[in-house]
Amino acid sequence: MAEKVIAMFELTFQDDELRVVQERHYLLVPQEELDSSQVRAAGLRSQRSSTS
Amino acid sequence: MPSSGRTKGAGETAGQNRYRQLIDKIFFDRFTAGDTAVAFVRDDIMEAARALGIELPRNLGDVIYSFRFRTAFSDRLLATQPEGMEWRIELAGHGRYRFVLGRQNRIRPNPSLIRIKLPDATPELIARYALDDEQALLAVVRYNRLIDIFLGITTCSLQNHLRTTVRGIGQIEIDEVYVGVDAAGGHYVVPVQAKGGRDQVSVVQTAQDLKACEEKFPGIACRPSRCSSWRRRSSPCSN
Repeated sequence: MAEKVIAMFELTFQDDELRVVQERHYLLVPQEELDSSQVRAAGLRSQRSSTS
Repeated sequence: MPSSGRTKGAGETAGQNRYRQLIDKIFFDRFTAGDTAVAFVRDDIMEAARALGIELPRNLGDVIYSFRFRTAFSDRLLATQPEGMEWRIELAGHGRYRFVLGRQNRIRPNPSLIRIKLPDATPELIARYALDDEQALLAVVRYNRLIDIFLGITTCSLQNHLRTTVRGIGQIEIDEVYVGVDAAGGHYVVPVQAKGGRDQVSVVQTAQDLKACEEKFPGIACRPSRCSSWRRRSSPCSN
């Protein structure tokens, strides 16, 4: 089965070259396909990265 | 719409047309099929202007700068690029320049990146009736607040398909412009490029978007972003 992925890029110029600041890939799904433990793990990852 | 050529045509300024004639003259006077580099010097711009009988630009350096960041080469010059390659102008010392044929600066999605599952908030009506890929993608990004989620700021869509005139460039079109605010009260402007399928990030388009935002929204940070969508075979997702 094919999934539709949305890739997001933040771009900038550095030394006259186009560069990627950050990149994320999102998969939009019906809410029942979200796994509670994975959602919680993602939240904890975000929390760790914002406090580090 | 080919993004690299979006300042051509009706929105093109007389200056851009003049610059393009100069660059074509310089290039084709020196280029032989198969060349991967074509060197020239600053005086060649003056010579080309004399030969073409056109008024010399006041700022010669801007001719070069324009083709490095703002303006697409002519179709005739682009036709000399082999598949997957593109001409760029590089600085080669004081008053010296070089057209260099290099691989296209392709910014492609990294296939090994984690796929983050989000609850789909796209209205079914939009999913059903979106007219084209780019419109659909912009709508999906907007309804799912993907700019907010991605950049970590709170944004509002100010306008889509913003047509505006930028000094020294002419008329450009930005796919969608957001304005936003962060937790500390800082403001942002986010020009968004939407690309479906195989379309690529355009260096010229990103530079034009930046310049337009600096001119229209002076004093606030600009965070150019790009969204693209594609279909891929499914495998277990992370979240």
